[in-house]
Amino acid sequence: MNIRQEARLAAWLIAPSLIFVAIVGAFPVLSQFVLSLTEYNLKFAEERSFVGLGNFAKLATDAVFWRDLAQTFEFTVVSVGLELVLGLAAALLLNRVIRGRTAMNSAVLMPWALPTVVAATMWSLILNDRIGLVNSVLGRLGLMGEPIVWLGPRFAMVSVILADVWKTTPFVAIILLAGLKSIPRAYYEAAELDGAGRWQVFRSITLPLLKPFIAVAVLFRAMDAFRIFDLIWVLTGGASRTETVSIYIYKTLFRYADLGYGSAMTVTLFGIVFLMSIGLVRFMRVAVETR
Amino acid sequence: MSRKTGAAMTWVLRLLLAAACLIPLYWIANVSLSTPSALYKTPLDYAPRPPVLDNYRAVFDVNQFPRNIGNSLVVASLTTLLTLALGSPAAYALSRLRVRRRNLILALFLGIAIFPAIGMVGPLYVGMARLHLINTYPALILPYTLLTLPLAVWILTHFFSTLPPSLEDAALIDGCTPVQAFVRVILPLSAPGVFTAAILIFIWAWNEFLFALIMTSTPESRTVPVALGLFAGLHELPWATIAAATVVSVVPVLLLVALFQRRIVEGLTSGVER
Repeated sequence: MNIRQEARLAAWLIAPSLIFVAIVGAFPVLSQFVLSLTEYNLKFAEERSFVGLGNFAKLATDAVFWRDLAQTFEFTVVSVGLELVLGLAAALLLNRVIRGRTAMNSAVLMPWALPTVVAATMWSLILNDRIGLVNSVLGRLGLMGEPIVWLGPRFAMVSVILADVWKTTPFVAIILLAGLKSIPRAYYEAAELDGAGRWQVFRSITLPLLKPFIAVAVLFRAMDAFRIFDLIWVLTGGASRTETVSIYIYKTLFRYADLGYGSAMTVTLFGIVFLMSIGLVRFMRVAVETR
Repeated sequence: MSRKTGAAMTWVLRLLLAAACLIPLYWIANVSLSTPSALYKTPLDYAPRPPVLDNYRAVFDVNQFPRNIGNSLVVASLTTLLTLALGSPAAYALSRLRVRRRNLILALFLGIAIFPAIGMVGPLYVGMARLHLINTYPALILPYTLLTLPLAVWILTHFFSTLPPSLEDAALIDGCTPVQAFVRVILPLSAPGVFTAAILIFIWAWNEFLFALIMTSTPESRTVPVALGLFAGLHELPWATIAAATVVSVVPVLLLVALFQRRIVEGLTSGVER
């Protein structure tokens, strides 16, 4: 097959998916960029006009947007941070399981495979202040006087983070487990011969060689956490200072029918996640090259 | 600390890890098998006494839930098929053939993957409404295929590139056309990769909520996550019924996990693990 034929075959093979993306994907994505430059509210549809960067200027002084951005940031940093620590611990525990490996891996993958909405519904029952399991256990152990309102103003963010950590730590654990398996055994054997302690081995062999995997897991998770919608929508609906940017966009687009402003927020959110993805691509390259 | 106590400690921690993952699921199963009033007892019973199946009967009798399960099965299966039909030829070309503007194409898929879904759902709703597709399967299958294509291309590109490069040449020498070389030689050899991608796409589509919420407006056209999500939005929550519906809705994914956990792990780590 000469080069020309090969290129032609490649074009034929790729064309269907590109055409599909162009038809189904290009319109919604591009329309967001166009709409973000217009003032367009479905409730006053006749007043549609081009406003340039006006929506973005409004966004810059929108206290609700900044509050939600801060809350999204808080949610992302705390959950991804916890997921990293717990995911690393889980990966270390799962590494070199000999008996019962299938059972262990399946147990750990279960939360990840659950629909987010189902996980959220489940947690809203478990955390319910009157009939929930958590308060019941705390009560029995005598650790709680008044029932704790987990989804109320004080603890809503804690609860939302707890549910997210439960659901997505398995993903981090699986990525890090792949990293652990990629470290040659010989390194550990050599360290043992040199009489290195466990902590020393962890710090000078495991952690440095795991770094690219940690970066990939963290960035993947951060990109998702920053766009979080369904978990919070079901657990709190965005009340009690848990509203994230995606929920604000949802309200703006579907409740206030403000397409222009909502699109400007979408484009901004895309910009933030895009910057994260650049970091991701760079780290992935490092992860491949260090091998 | 001796080796033996160290190993015992590790197992204790492993069991704790498994417990942390499974106790919430146990609790839902427990509530689903208890009488609705059992939840309001103080102190709570931590096991169903006695176990009853009434809640499951309620799920299947009273509302549209069986219909919702059928919808989810159809949408997730057709999404998986369509995504693989579009994605595997593209991934094959991207991994094994000379492709012009390859980086641009890869960037396009990445762009789709990271664009906030919340922003796509509105314009897609308008488009589907114009085509009178709201409350139909295509209104979900088309967006789902769009959103799972990057994942499929990602996993399959990785799998195809692990096969030895001489395969097509051998097939061509044996008189295959290039298309036959792909269909008869490469595809069968990458069946494990295609299967892995299929599982991940299916789970993703089975679990999707946002699009399903917006694109459907009647109880009969809803998928499982939306039916459950709207359940939870009611005021007087029939928790025992919700729990039973939850258990029913997670059975397919939990079966997939239990049967294919190795493939899932491979799929999740492809691209990072080379």
